[in-house]
Amino acid sequence: MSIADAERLVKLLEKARNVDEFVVVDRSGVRASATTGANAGRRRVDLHRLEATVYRDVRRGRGSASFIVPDHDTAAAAALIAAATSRAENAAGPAWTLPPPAAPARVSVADLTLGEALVPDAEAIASQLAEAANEAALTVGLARVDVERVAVSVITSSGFDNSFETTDLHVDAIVTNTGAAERVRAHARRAEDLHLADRTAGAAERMADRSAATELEPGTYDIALAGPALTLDVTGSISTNGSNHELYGWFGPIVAQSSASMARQRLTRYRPGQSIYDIPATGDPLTITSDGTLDYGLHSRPFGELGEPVRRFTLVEDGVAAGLSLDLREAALRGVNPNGGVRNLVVASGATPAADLLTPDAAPLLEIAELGWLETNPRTGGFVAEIGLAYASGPARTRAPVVGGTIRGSIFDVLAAARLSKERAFYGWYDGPTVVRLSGIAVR
Amino acid sequence: MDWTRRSVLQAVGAVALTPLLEACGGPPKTPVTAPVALRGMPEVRDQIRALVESLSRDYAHASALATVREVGGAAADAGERGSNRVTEAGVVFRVSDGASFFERATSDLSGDGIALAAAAVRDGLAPGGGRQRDIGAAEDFAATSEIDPASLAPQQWLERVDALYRRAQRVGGSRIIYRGAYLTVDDTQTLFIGDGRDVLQRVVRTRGGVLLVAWTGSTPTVEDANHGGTMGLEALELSTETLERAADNALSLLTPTPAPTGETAVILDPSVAALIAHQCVGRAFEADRWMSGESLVPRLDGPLGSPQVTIVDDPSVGGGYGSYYFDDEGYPAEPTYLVRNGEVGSPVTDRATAAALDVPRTANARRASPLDPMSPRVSNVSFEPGTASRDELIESMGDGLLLEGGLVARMDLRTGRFAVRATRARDIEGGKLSGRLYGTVDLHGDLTQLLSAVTGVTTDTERFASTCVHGERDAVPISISGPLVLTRGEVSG
Repeated sequence: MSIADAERLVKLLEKARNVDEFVVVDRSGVRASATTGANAGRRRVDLHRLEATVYRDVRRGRGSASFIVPDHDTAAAAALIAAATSRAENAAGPAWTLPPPAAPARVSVADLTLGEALVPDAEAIASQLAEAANEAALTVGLARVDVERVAVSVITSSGFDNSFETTDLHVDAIVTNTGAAERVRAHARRAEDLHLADRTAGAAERMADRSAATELEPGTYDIALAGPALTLDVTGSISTNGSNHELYGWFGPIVAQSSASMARQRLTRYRPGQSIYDIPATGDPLTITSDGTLDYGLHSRPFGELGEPVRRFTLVEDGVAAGLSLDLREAALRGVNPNGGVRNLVVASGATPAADLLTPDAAPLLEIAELGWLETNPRTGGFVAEIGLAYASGPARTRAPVVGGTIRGSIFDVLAAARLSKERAFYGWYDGPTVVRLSGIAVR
Repeated sequence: MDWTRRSVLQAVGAVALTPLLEACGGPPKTPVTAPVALRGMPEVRDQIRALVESLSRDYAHASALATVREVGGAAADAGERGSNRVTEAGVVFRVSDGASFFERATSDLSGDGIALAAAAVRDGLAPGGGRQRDIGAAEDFAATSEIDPASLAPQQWLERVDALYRRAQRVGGSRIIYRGAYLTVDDTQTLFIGDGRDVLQRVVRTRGGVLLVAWTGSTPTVEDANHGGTMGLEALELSTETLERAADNALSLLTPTPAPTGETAVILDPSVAALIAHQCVGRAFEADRWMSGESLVPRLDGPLGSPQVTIVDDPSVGGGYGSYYFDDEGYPAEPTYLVRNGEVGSPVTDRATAAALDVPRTANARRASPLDPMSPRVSNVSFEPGTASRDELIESMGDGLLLEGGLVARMDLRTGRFAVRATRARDIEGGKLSGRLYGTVDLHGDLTQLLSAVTGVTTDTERFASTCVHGERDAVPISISGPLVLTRGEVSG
């Protein structure tokens, strides 16, 4: 399969009867893995997917249907087009048309230092992990390293014709020392951004602290989120449509509520121009921008799944809902330009030094080092989370490791009272305050 | 249930029905054995068999897994309707020299593509441990359905979904602000050759349902009435009673009262018990979690629950959404007791983890597709029934809460601390339902304590279609089932 196949498909679509518009997406690449431990091995996958969506305008509106051209049967394309057109004619939705082509965003999303085969790259990263673990007096128990490089091309009937290459690296490992085990995860666009030495050192620190930790006393605490507890060290695959709220941890409900489709059907909690809170805001002003143009950001892309250009837009400004995630269709229905959906989140800084936010005042403070899990409800903003490891400190400012404890509430309520640090950090998809402090959280 | 409407409708492709909630399931059907042909590629099987035979002569282990998967569906709501069906295919060759493995996978199932992948395996791992091995006679398996989705075009699926949508319009009145009907179909043929077997199965997983949304002040209440399993388009045949009950549930929480907080007796409805069986118990019994030291279960020095607690994973369950005849290493489906009468049983394994842990091999080697890695994952997880009736359970409880409509459960596998969220809680006072209804409630605490406090389990169970998700490349269809379970726990309203 090659670019020529995509071009042949485009020609067929251009000649096809009853196809009003179309989008062709061609993805091809290689994924390689290296696993170590009891089930050691390597794997290489040759990826290819040639997919098209056809649009058919009928009296009751616009219908669409998609199909994949099998690698083993490219001659089937004509029949697939006919079947998809028939499905599209039977479908119906609001009338809209593809916008004129717009320039893709300028952003780097591929590690050009990776080789062609990728299996040696995965093995090299596994070796770096072993070395980093050794430096931290740890042993790698099990590890899997995945390295992927994919070229994406999009051609539309409206004249968009562009492509880009992206890379994606995952590390998921268990490091051990005398019976204790900690997880090390990393996810980046580039090998140099995996920071395996820092992550294994962090694992060693958590291991030592966990062994000395006591059970957390239930009560009311201020909670400081930083690093992995703030961004959850997301290791899932990069969202292809920028709309998977689960990839955004604490900010997931805000991302979900920005769905233009949901808003159009009046199924969101708030709409642009309305406060995102149910209670008066007492914390720092919360301003969040989507930016898919950050070099090597985990959710960065030059353009979206159907060729829509990725653009910066404001999701929340000073606690008030601002923009919506606009794909081609939702933008066309509103008569505005698409923005490529929610991508990386840029959160505005607060005014308080991080050190102050990590200092207890009247209420005892829990500095969360690791969450056992976090579950958020994209529709309501409700959350429940288990504290994996934290540091508790009281007015006397003694700081002690603790484990356990469940917290729950509304993301929107806790953010209404959140304080944000002046210092900033960039963690893959999050560019914002290094510390977010939540006030008066009941821990059970 | 961690499977969202978003993933279905994105899989469906063109339809933009608002993604809202998770799906559930229905009664089992008994699969039967019948010959099938790998759709559209009759010559592929012979070619793969010959290649695996050749590889077996050079390697300690050699096998191949190929799938052809037709994924589609239909959806309709007030503003939009549509249907879709796409075909995905892949093959993976796997060899091992006894010390390590190498896999080569491709989505190209042409003769040349398959030959290239098999040849590339030899480039990836030096031969070792090979010998002449016999591959048995070819065997085929297929589950039947009343209305085979493959017998109808997707446009005809849409007509049936439209009909269900029109029925949904008749329930709930004007306070239901959104209605949508949907169908998903996953028609997968899997060929495994290796380890002395040449087996092919066709499994059709279908679910149909209705989403109803009511507005409760600032948030929506969503009800998803649905039916699913290894079945056909009969999944769309939801009863009027089911639709009306869903509408009643959606409207029941228009002015919700927070449930009382604290430790109390609770009855878990089947959806809540099933979520705990999967998310808390099932995941803790995946053998890779045992190997990694993540799961607390191997470290337990006593029972996990009371004698009333038995939890089984069984891929051979008739009609289960996670059912199959053989796993992705060709191992025949059979049940595994995770917990039997409260005592810890076996983990679910694949070949490698069973060997590493020196525990029994179970039929749980699973891949999201041949292009994705293999892991030991559950199939149909069941909290087994007991001996009580629903009324007996409520009466014996005295005072407490009946938790209904399981939404999601999570557990820290290392510590066993869990939380499960239910849509609503009904108050029980003096062994009777008082009529008081509370909004969303969380049950949380320590899994061993929760299961050890189980004192009653009903005879009746319900099964739900779901997906076991560990990541985009590690997600497999499963079913979860449970009875009503009486226990004690910490709740927060």
